[in-house]
Amino acid sequence: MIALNNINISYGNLKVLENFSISLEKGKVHCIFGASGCGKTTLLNALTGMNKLESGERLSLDNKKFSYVFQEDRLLPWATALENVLFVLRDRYCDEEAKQIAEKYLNIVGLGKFINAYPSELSGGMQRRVSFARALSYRGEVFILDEPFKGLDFKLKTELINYSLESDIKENSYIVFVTHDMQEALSFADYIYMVDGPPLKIMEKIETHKNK
Amino acid sequence: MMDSTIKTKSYIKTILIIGFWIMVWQIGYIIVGRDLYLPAPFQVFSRLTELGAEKAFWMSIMYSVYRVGLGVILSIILGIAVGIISGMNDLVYEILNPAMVAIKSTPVMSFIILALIWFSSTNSPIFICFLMCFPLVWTNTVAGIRNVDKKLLEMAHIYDVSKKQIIKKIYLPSLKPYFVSSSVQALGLGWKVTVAAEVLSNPRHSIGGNLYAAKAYLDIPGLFAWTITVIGLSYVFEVFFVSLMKKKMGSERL
Repeated sequence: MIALNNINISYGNLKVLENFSISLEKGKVHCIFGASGCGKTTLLNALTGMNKLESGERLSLDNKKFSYVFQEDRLLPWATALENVLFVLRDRYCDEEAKQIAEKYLNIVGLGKFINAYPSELSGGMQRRVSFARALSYRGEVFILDEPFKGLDFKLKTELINYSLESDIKENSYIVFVTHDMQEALSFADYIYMVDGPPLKIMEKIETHKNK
Repeated sequence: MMDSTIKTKSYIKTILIIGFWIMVWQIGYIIVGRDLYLPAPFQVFSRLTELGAEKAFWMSIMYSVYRVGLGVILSIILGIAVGIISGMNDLVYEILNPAMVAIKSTPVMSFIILALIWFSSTNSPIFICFLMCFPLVWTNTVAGIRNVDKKLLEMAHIYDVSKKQIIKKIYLPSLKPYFVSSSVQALGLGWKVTVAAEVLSNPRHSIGGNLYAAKAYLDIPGLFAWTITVIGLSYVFEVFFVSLMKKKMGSERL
């Protein structure tokens, strides 16, 4: 189990997280469901360690590897789809192995024919697939999806959800998924945390039928 | 077919523009009416032809090209290296910034006179070229580093990408447009300050030395001919450099 325990984070006078705690189970999809600006991204930053805590603890998170699908794709514009995926693999694998892994995941997300295309040559949906391939190939122990399906059509959304769940990522990872869309939450999550804020509060924790 | 038509149109346009300015020059010559103040375009081009037939002309060009090339290359290499460190480290930036501001605002003549005391007449122009171009490249590199997309850096940190990869795959590609722009500016400035330094230091083979001689002997067509030579060389350098960069980096991602 990984957890945040009694953490506090403020931006100036605004308390975004105040004595906030959450624990996450391995192999489960935890959905954070709430309105824009309530502090969801700050919570994700607290998990990854990108935001410094004023107080509180990050439990069993310090040496974890994170796979992250951002709201924006955050692809290197000067690098091809393959190079974008390789970027996160090069320090962990030898060149040949990294290339094989990158190609495998680009094939999984349906971009096998576009590995040498630059982001500007790909559609928005294809860029999103590259971002997923990057996250899936990295095989982080914590898999974070920050509104990953924003603006995507239903078909692509379902495909990407299936890629994430069909790979053995689910069994071996802690998955945190942020969304505004209840349908997405219900079709993807084991637990839905209804949140409000700032400061961020868990109003209700719902166990979905998927987990029963 | 389409491309060659566009190219032909572009050449015709360039020739017409050059023709227009030569015509303005000729009108100016007629109005001024004194060769000593403003020689006719024909006099200057015939002097240029005379100079072109002399071995000394080409020797002077060769040595000046060497001085500008060495000064600019040194300033680009060191400007980028020190600029990257300064852009990533605030303390280094704060230490170096006052020196760069001082160099940029000091009259080039002050440095040329100092350089004449410190170095030989051949090396002074190289030092001046380096000294004047270095702050330009440094400033552009720092700006490039500071304008790197923070979201890409955040992504790299979350994925625990090594510093080496971050520099190679995020910082250096982000610097490309700044590198090209500062290098082109440095090439232009390099010619100006090197020739100015050559005028004062008067090394054996140099364009600046010939400019000085033309002024001393009131060879005004010669003065114009050497000046046109500098403009032409500066232009050729710039065109060559930009086309080289386009070839190396890919124009669409430059």
